Amino acid sequence: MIAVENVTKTYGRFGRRARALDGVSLEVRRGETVGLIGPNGAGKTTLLSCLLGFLRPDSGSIRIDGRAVDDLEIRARTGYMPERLGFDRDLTGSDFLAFHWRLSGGDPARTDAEVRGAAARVGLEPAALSRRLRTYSRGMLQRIGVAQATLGDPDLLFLDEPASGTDPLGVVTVRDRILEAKARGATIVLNSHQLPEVEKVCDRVVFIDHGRLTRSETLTGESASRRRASIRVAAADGARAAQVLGREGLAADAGPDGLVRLADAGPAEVARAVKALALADVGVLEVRSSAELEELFREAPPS
Amino acid sequence: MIEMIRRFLRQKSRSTGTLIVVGLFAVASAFTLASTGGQTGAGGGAGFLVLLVLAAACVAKDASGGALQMILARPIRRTDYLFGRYFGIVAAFAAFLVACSLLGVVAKAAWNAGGPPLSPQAMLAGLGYGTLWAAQTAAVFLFFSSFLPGYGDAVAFLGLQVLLSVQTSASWYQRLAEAIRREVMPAVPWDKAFGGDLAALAAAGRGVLATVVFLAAASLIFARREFVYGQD
Repeated sequence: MIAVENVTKTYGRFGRRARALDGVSLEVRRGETVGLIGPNGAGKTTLLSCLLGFLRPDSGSIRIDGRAVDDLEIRARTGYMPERLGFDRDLTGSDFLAFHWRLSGGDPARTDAEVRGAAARVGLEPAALSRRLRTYSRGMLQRIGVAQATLGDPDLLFLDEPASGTDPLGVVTVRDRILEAKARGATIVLNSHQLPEVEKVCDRVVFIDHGRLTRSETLTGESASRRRASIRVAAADGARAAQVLGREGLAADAGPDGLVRLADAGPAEVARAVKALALADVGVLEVRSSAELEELFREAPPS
Repeated sequence: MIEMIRRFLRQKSRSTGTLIVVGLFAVASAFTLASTGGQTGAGGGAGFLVLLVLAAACVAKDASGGALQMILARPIRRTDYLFGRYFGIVAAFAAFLVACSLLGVVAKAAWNAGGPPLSPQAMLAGLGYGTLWAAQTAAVFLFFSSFLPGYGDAVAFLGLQVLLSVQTSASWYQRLAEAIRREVMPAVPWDKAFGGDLAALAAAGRGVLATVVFLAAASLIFARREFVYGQD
C-alpha cells in the first residue's frame, strides 16, 4: 500500500517560493489503479516525483508497504515512465531495454527474450529495436518508454502521461499494457490529461489543484461515484426523447446533435430510460455510461 | 556500477560529435608521441580538452532529459550511478590514451617524424600517468557535476582554473591560490613519484587525498540532491 500523509513541498527559496503540494494525504491500496487529475501546474508530477523519491517532501511522510520510497527492495518492484522522454538518444532501442532489464535485476541470460517480448507487447517492430532512439517518432518513444516501465512485470507502476503523443493504436496499446498490469495485481499511479483513458483503466481518480487534493472519485465497484449516461437518438428526436424521459421522472438534457444526457444515472435509471424511449418509438442509436470526468474536472471542488 | 560504466562508454562511443573531437585530439597527440618517443602529452592541453568533452554535463544531461529519473527508479544506489559516471570518464580517457599510443606507433612507422625511437616502457608509463591525472581531474569535475545544472560543471571547472592562475598584487590571494593548487588540486609529477622522489610522493599523497575528498563530497551532495523535471 502507498501511504501519503500530509505531504507539503515547496519550490524556490526566499521570496520566490511556490507551494507545489500543500498537505496532500492519499492512500493507494495494493492492486488499485489511481489516476491523478488536475490542471497544468497542479502538483501531479511533483507528487509522482515524491512517490519515487526524486523529491523530498518538506513535511509529511510517504511509505510504500511500510518502507521508505527509495528503499531498494521497493525499487526492485517499481516501473516508472517519465513525462519527458529525453533518454539516451544514441542508444538503440534494444540496448536501451536491455540496459533497463539488467538494471532492474533481471536475469542476464533472458535479456534478449525479455527485450523482444517487451517490444512486441507495445507494438514495436523487431527492426525498430536495432535503430537508435534519436530516429524514433514521439509515438515510438512513448511505446518504448512503456515497454521499459513494464519490463519484468513490476507490481508498482508510476506512469506520467504514458499515451501522450501516440496515435490511436498506440493509445489502445498503452491502455492494454496498463490493464494487463492491473489484471496481475499491480498497484498503478497514473498521471494523465487523457480523461477518457483514465476512466477506462482507473479504479479511482483524485483531483489535485494548487497542490491540494480536492476530490476523490471511485470509478468502479459498488462504491462508485455517480455516473452520467448519454443516450444518442436521431437529431430530430432529441427534444421528444427529453420529454419522454422527463415524464418518467428522469432529468434529461437534450443537445442539438441528438445526444441526451442523464445526470446521476445508475444502471437501473439507464434501463428505465431505454425502455421508455423504446415504448415511445424513439430509436436509440447508442448508450454510454461514464463517470464524466470532464464534467467533474470542470466542477468546483466539493467543500 | 559496471552497468553504469558500460552505459557511459556506450553513450560516448555512439556520439558522432564526441568521436570526431576525441579522434582529432588523438591524432594530434599521436604526433606528439611519435616525436617525443612515448609521451603523449595527454596530461596537457589536449588531454584537458578531451576530458572536458567527455565529462561536461555528464550528469546534467541525464537529469534534464529524464534518463536519470528512469535509472534512479531502478534498484541501484545513487552512488552507483555517480561513480559509474566517474569511472566511465576515466575509462574513456584511458581508451583515448590507448588510441593515441596506437596512432603514435602508426605515425612513427609511416612518417618517421624524427626524435627518439618509441619506447614501449615510456608509452606504458605515459598511459598510466595520464590515467592517474584523469582520475584526479575527473574527481574535481564530478564534484561540480553533482550539483550544477547544464554545462555548469565545465564552466565552474574552467572558472576555477582561471581564478587559480590569476596574477595579482594581493598577497593574500596569491597565498590562497597557491594553497589550493598545492593542497586541493596538486599537479602530481607521477613519474617522479613512482621514481621515489619524496616531494613528488608528498604531492601524490595530497592528490590522492584530494581526489577521495572530492568524490566523497560529490556522493554526499548527489545523495541529497532533488531532481525536478517539471512542476506540474
